[in-house]
Amino acid sequence: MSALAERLMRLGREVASEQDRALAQDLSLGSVRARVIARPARRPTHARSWGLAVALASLAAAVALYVAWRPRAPLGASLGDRPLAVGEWVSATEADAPHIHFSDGSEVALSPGSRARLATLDAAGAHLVLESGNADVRVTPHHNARYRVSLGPFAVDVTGTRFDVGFRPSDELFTLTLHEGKVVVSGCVLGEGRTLLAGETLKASCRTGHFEISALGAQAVPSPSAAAAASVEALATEETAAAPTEAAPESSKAPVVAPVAPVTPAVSWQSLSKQGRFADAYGLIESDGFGVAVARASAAELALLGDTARFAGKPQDALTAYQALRSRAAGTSAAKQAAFSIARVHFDQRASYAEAARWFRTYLAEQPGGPPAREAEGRLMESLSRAGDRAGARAVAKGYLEKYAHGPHERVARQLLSR
Amino acid sequence: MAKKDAQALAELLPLRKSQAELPAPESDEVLVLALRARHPDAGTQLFDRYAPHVRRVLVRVMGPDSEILDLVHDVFVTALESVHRLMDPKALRAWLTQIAVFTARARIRRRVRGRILRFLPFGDLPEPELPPADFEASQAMQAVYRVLDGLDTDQRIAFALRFIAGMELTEVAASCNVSLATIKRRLARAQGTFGAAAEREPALAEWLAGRATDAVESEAP
Repeated sequence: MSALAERLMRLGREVASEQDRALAQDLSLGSVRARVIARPARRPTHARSWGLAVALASLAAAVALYVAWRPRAPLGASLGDRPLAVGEWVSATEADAPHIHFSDGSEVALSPGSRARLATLDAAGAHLVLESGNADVRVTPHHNARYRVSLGPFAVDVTGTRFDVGFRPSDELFTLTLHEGKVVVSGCVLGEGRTLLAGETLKASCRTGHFEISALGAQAVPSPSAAAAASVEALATEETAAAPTEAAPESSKAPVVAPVAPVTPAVSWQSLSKQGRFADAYGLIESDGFGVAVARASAAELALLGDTARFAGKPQDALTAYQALRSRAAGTSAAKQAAFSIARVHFDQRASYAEAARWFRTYLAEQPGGPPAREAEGRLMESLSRAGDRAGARAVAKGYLEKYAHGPHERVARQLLSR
Repeated sequence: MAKKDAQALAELLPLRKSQAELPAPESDEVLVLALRARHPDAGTQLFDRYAPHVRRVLVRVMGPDSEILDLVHDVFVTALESVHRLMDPKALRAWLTQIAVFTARARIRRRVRGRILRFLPFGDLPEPELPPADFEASQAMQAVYRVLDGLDTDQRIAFALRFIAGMELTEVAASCNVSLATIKRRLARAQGTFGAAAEREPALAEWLAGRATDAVESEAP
């Protein structure tokens, strides 16, 4: 190496050291992190190109349709004697099992214990979200009728028919018995859609990853596949609590048992969140109120609720969900993991480094061998340093280097110890 | 691709269906699979693991610059959108370095074009905003980047990666996606141009004459 190159190397090292000192004091990376993580998920470029072409074609078709058919007034919906507003929740109890009536004659009867929400209403039909329970749906056939019933990760598209449908969120079990007409059911194990004909019953479970279509009341025929047979058995056991109990004639039609199909987008906030669409998921949660969602969520859903709020850039809501998880499921692995998530919110989104340090310590005390223990220890060190506790940060740095000599926080640890 | 990667990920990680949190994967390979499977936590973990490195590369190339954070953002958005193109998941760090280098290169070139436009006879063109430093830099550092601003963009990047980031020649070549011979040529030219331009910078005179470096070395224990 020439003398000039050597001098340039020394000059470069000095510049780099100065930059590293400045970067060690810079707290602004957290804001970029929130922006990167909260950004909506996008498809790869080639998919986007196709998507653009499809979107343009759809736009052209939509313009043509608009010119051909003038928009009509939206349908009306009512609950007993009063109008039912879009977004309104309807709950059915033993004493009061309400019927939702639509102005085109269509009707939805909720079974006791069921909850549903009218998501949209337009000239062609409505979108009803059945959160849990069962419903008897009758859609009056008419020109361009378009109704959709969403149940967790499943969706039923209807043009004119009568069916019983149910969903049990605890095990994501979906059941549908079609009495008249034709429906298309999509989501989860059903992929982009399966058509059901009158007299058929569909049972599907995201949890077991299988679905079964049989004629109304038919017995399940054992599948050649042991795994499939086991799943059918699981479905048969599960269905006792949720399947319609309507008696029907025997049929020789064998059930269809299918393995997992590609997952398709569904409309629940959970599915949106699992797809990484945190802003959309948060918007859906917000429509009913975040507090309502927290009150209603299971322990597993609380963790997802917290993550959704965190990635959507809503730290206060995220903390609410994680704290609820810690109090409701105290001592569980999920509650311990929530301590780590709380720490991250304080660190990344609130710049509350003392609080972040407290929660990273809590996580490490509760789950010292947890998967993110190395990261927790590294970030504890950073939190203490940023909170001004140099002695504490140095102590953690020493321990960090002993355990993770080449970990991602190695440089920070060495800098802390060299001061 | 996403489904295939999800299956591969499931084989590598004991994920439950309801599990929202991705256990911190030890290897880049697992992290890449998680990214391709669009696991909700994968982007966070990619950022947590590599944002400091990406920012450091950008700072080395750009110097004190108010747009560093925007560039970090751009690098991760590019990475998340094109992770399916990464051929070797084990080369994640090098791949991110390359994206960072090319992101910085595009920004520098845009600024250079802005400077050229100012000399064209279009009086109504807006003046490009020159970014202020995001931290107080020493005179030597300011002088280094002033000189680098005058270099050809590719030479500047090669110089910054080799002399400031301290990369090996092969790393510099890989980060710039060119051959070793090309990088050697660029570095030779950059070194000459930098040396000549630095003579006009008093803050660098001592460094290049060796006096400052000698003084630093004599202070060392």
